[in-house]
Amino acid sequence: MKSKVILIAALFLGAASYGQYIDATPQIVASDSKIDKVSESFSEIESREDKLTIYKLFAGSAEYLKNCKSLQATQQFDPILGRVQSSYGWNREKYPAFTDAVSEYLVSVGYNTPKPLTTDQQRKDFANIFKSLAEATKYE
Amino acid sequence: MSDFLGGNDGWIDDPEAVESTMNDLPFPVFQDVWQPIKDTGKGKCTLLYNYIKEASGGKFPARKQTVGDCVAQGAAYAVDAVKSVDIILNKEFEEWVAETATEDIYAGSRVQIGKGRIRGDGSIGAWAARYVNEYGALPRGKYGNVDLTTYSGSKARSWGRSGAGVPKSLIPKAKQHPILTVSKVTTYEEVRDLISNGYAVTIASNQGFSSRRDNEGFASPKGNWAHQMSILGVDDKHKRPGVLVQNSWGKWNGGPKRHDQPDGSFWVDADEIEKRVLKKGDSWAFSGYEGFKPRELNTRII
Repeated sequence: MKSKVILIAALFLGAASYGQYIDATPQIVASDSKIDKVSESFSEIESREDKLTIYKLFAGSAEYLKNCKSLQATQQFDPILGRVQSSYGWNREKYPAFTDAVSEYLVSVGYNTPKPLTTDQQRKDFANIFKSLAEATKYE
Repeated sequence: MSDFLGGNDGWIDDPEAVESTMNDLPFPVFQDVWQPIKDTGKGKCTLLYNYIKEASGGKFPARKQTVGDCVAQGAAYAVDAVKSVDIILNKEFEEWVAETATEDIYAGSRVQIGKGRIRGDGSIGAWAARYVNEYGALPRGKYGNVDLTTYSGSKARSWGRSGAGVPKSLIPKAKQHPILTVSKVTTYEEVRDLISNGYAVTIASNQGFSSRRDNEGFASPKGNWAHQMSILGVDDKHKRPGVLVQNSWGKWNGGPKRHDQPDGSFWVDADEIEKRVLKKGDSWAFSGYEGFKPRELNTRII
């Protein structure tokens, strides 16, 4: 429950920062083709509201993971993200092509292999995965 | 034998076999290594079953034996407790996977350790302790063509026949996941200090207990059971110090509960557990499980 509260708070921070970039010019998020594909798939989503939710989930996750000290391993994060998604009324795989693109990106950065989160560097590396996804899903 | 479930207990009282088994264990008597944690459990309440609930995602194993394999059932609960402590308390990078299987422990204790000398149902606490220490314990699941997904009393009995034993293909897999230390315990104080330090304890004796818990969750000694169970909690700060005994007969008893204790469990007064059970000399403390590294994570996260 505590983790969920922290993550929701982080998501609000992410939402607050949304106003700062909404008028920004399109940006190149990464040279990596997998993350480019995430951006491309994201741009095909028509619902502005869903786009904002996706961004908030990624940006909030990055913020949460950057600061959270309680997680000891990467696999502990997915259930937390799932619960937050449920609280937003978000159903996974609503946009299958986008889910595919995100999944391929996650595999390419080794997200699927569980790792400990015992050092600051490990936490930073894990948070950066979501930071990249957040940057790739900024409103174009 | 108890007449409950037609006599599904199955502990064999054999002090000579216990003594013989102890000779092969690295820490056969807990008293030898007790000093560092002596009295650390005094005045504390430690509920190992809560760690099992947390590690298993709320799926506390509801064990209900159908043959005389209580020795394996009690040992499996102890393994469940130890691996949950490793995950939740010690923060080891391992995952729960599933409740511990019993068929291999039962057969291994009788055949691999006991050399097939018991003819009918049943086994010895020391043999099960020695088996999980030397051969390991596996969570329920499929291992090649061996299916341990669901409990089968008949499979336990079949594997436990003299000349059968744990399938050879299973042994290398089990050996990757041993209980690291097993030691004999004989007093309440030892049990108290062990449980509060994350050890789990199997208990075996001829003592039976009432199927009705009193107002404080305790069951009084009653009848005779040649039976092994496990201790999954200790409350030394209560006005009645005692231990939480977990049975493997499903929801067999009733009456008030304390500390949200699991179905099938009951509290036993400290002096009763020591005098009537621990002094029989076949109760064992387990610690440290060589667990399972997590599998791949789901990448379909959005």
